[in-house]
Amino acid sequence: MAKTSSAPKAITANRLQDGEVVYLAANGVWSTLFADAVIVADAGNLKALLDSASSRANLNEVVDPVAIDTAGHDFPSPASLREKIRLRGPTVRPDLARI
Amino acid sequence: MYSYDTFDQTLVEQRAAEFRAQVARRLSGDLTEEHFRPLRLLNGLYLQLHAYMLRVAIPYGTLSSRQLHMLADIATKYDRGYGHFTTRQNIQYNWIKLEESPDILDDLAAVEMHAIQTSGNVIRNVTADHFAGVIPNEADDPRITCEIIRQWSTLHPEFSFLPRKFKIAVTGAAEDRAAIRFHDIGIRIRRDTAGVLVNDIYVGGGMGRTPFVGPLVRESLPESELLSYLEAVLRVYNRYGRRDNIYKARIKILVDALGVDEFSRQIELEFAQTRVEGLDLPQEEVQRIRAFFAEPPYETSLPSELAKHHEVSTPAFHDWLRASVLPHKAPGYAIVTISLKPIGGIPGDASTQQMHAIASLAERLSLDEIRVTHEQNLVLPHVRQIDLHEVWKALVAEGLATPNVGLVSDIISCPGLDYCSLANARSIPIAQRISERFAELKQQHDIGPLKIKISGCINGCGHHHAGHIGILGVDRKGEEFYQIMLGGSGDETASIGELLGPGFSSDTVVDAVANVVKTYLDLRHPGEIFLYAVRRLGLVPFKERLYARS
Repeated sequence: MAKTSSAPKAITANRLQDGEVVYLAANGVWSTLFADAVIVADAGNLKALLDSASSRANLNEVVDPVAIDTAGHDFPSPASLREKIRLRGPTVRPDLARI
Repeated sequence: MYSYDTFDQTLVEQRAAEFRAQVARRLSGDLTEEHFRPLRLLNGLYLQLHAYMLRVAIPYGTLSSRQLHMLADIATKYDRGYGHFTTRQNIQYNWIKLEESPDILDDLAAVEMHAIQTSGNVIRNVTADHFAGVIPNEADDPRITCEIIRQWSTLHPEFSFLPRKFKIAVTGAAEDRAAIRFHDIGIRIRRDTAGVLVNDIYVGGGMGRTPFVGPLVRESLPESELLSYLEAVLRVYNRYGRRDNIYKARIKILVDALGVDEFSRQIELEFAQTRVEGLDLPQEEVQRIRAFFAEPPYETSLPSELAKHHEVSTPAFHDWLRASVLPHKAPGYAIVTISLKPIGGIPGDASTQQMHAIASLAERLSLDEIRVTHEQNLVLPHVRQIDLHEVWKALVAEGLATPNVGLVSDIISCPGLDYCSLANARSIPIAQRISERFAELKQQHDIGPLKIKISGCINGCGHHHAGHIGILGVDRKGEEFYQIMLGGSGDETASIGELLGPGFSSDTVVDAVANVVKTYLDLRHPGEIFLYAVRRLGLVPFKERLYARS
């Protein structure tokens, strides 16, 4: 899990079947689009969201759900370089970019 | 080359079938990730940043054309059209789907390959000198020893849950191209004064968080007692290696903690037991394995064309000959190293098309054999000198004739943060930018032999500790920073690089490397290569220039 910080968080994981990067969206759905991710600023909401992501049903769908920091208010995006690379794909293969 | 017998073939087929059932149970939810993770890792399947990554074992870096064709097909069928050759002479695929991974293992088994023991706390794929069996003046072909170790260590029940992973490398030459002293066990095969084959055993080398050059723990071990000796080393490690702290679990920590003398004493005590347990192979079995590595049917009376090529070749062909071609032990043949380091490219990556092209080339002009080097290049080990121009033209057509082997742009790089879930910083873009900075071949020739090795984290898959210039990527408050070390070497004069000083940002690290190279050019003695200049000069003159206030 990312270091504790006050930044708003999203939940990300890799999809079980193919390893694709996914984000927890509304209604407990996993989406490949970061734009669909539920962003939470409140610690209580984050815990509930993580608990939900770590439920047995979810863990048969995804692997290793974690909370990540986000940045930006109107158009939030992953804050760390690692998560930016996960979102966009390898920086050295723009032809394989996810977005 | 070694060829599977029924036992080998059954083993890999059964393993693939077993994994298919395990994957099905995971996908159905019968297995949790906690239970499944160690099972997939035992089959080389990792979960990386973007997808699953499959690491396929290439025992001692030797491939047939048929096998390389299959690796190329897998890249197309299950991945995104390329593979990455690693510093452990393996290949990795970066975009694997879990649900398709059992099919890949089936395809691998069809060509006598697998992904067993490419991960986990076991004895990993054994590596060797990539010029094994073809370089002149070799005491013995190390692949014979490697194959014996492969069979001994595969699914070894006593060593399936070691404190940590365990890596063995073997060379049969005086020149060390396998970095044996940076392995848990390094084996140097040589002939004693009576001409008998013996093994010098180094234990406790390694890179990573705590680098060590492995000390010699047994000199002149009889060839016939190798397995019982290795068994003794592994037993001592299995018994006393730390399991409470992952960072202190490698055998190098145990050797350091006990001291070489005490560690050697412990091994000898154990060896007294193992050598009478009947673990060593009967000579008939050794000879059976040796027969697989008998010399291929070299043509005799071939003309020696190397000198002639050098005299009359075009400049581009001449540059390639100079960088990529070495004399072979068989008259009229040559060893060709194929650079997987195009200027600005990704070190170690090869496309499906390139792999097929190399496999076809090997089939036609290299007696059906390819080698993978730990420096992330490939080798055609048996090329007739009269075919060199044809080989070169074929490689040029595939973008595989960059004449930079052994030069500053022939950089080792781990996948780094572009792919790896352990990485703290990107490695590949730094390698790309350095190779672009030194792209001009005349400049590279002027600099001479120089090995740059880059890792994106302290685990050191990019061998930064053994680089003449080593670069380690670190995370500093969310930013990529790069530490530079000088004077490392993985060869027979093995040494660990020393840290120069404070790190550099991604924007400034290439300039810093250029500064170091410039200092070398200014201060070297005539003919003195970079590594020896650093050893003579020490770090001070490099530090003074690099950190001088402008």
